[in-house]
This record gives sequence, C-alpha cells and structure tokens, in this order.
Amino acid sequence: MSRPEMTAAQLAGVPDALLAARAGDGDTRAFEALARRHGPLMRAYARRLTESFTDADDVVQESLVLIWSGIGELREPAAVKTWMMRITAHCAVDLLRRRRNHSGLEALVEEAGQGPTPEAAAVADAGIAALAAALARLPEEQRRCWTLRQMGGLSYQEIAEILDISTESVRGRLARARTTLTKEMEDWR
Amino acid sequence: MTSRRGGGGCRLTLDDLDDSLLAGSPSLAAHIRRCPECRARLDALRRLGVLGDQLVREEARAAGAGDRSWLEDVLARLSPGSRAGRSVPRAPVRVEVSFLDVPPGRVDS
Repeated sequence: MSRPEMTAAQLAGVPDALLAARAGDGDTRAFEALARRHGPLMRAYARRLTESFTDADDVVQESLVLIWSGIGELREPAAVKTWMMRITAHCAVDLLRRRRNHSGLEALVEEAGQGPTPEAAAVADAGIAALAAALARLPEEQRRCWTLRQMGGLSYQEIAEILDISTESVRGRLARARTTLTKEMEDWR
Repeated sequence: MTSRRGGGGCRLTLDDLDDSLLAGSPSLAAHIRRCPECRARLDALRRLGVLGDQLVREEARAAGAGDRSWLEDVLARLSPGSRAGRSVPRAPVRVEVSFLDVPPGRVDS
C-alpha cells in the first residue's frame, strides 16, 4: 500500500532515517528533502576536495544520482548523511583522477596551490580564516587527507581506499598535516 | 618519522593520540591522563578539531546561502522520469555504497 506524500514543510522536520527509508521506497520528495538538507555540506565538501566551484557542483550532481540509485540498498538509514558524504568524496576523487589523467598531476597541484578558497576569504571569524589559510598552505595530498578525515569523518582505511594509497601513507599525511596545523594554530586558543 | 614527538621524552606521536586509537586502547588513555606532554598535544588537537568543525559549518553555510537555484538545477537534471522509479543510470564512476559500522568521531576524553 502506498503512503501519502508529505509536504515540504512536513519533510523539513523528519529525521534522516525516516527520509532515507522513504526515499529507499521510491519517495522522490523524501529524497529531495535529504538533498536539500545535506546538499550544502556536500557542496562545501566537494569544493574543498576539488578546489573548484564548477567541479564541485558536477560532483554533487553525480553524487545525488548515485545516492538516489543506491539508497534503497542502504543498510543503516540513520547514517544516511555519512553515506552521502562518503559518496561525495568518492565522486570528487574520481573527478580529480579523471582530470589528472587528462591534464597531468603538475597542473593539478599548481591549481590547488593558488591560495585559499573563496569561502576562506569570506569567513568572518579570524580563527577560522587562519585555519583556512593554514590549510591552503599545506601540500595538496595532506590537505586532501585532512579534509576527508575532518569534513567527511572517514577512517584511515576508507581514505586509503578512496585515494588508492596505503593506510600508512594516510597516517603519515594526516600526521604531517596535524603537526603543521596544530603548530600554526597555537595562537588561536 | 612523520609526526612531532614531545620534547620531554614521551614517545607518543600526534597520530597516536587520534581518537580511533584512543578509543581502542584503555592503556593509552590512562597514559595520556598521566602525561602532561600528551595532554597538551591532545588539547592542541582538540582546538584544531573545534576550529575545523567551525570551518566546515561556515563553508556549508556559505555553500547553501544566497543562490539556492544551484540545488534546484541539480535536482532538475536528475530528470523527473528517472527519479520516478529506480531506473537512474549509474554515472561512470566507481563508488562503493557499502557502509562501515563505526564512523570515526572526534578526539574525546
């Protein structure tokens, strides 16, 4: 028996788990509510990982296609946000990998090293701006690991799988990133 | 060596203090309670984590603010026909849709 569709206002207060379950049953409005709720974070995450506003929106679109097609198989509906972020990370890194195959690693690194993102320039809080600037100075591979860990909440193993590197490499990159960032942020207490 | 050790003789590194290791090692947690170097570095990691969380929230707010049409555009491109059923073609990317049971958390006491 089909359930009645809920209004947008009703859906706004519905927990993730219920939205995911309903989306898994094919409820498009529930899926859209999830997309509206977590889309901005997915977009910010994709921007950090790709360092491109345009690429980030492509990543979000690609991710939402995959999320919609896979949400019926999700085993833990309550953790749908984490799952959405994980798919976003996969799509962002896949895009970077495709881009790298076309333009070469050097061009990618050069692009990544052009300074803080526009968001970093816009943030008002000095401590946050200082962290954004410190992140921009990190080597790209360290910054990416830190973003996957801090923003995506991924485990070392998951980061290793996404980036196709060893867990020891992930550990080393995160350790270097943390060492640099904690040192640079010592004044922000 | 990839991580800064304490200057006073403690051999633990910053990554030793990471939450996943801490959560799985009561003896490590007990050491940290006794070791001022580790507590100082753990405090620094916590401050970094708090600032990182604030940065994430700020960037998510900025990403969703103002121009809401970007998401409408994205949703519109997931064509109504494809979204009506389960027939969405997969994008040409490799994505694991499996789910691990234990998402990592922040450094905690």
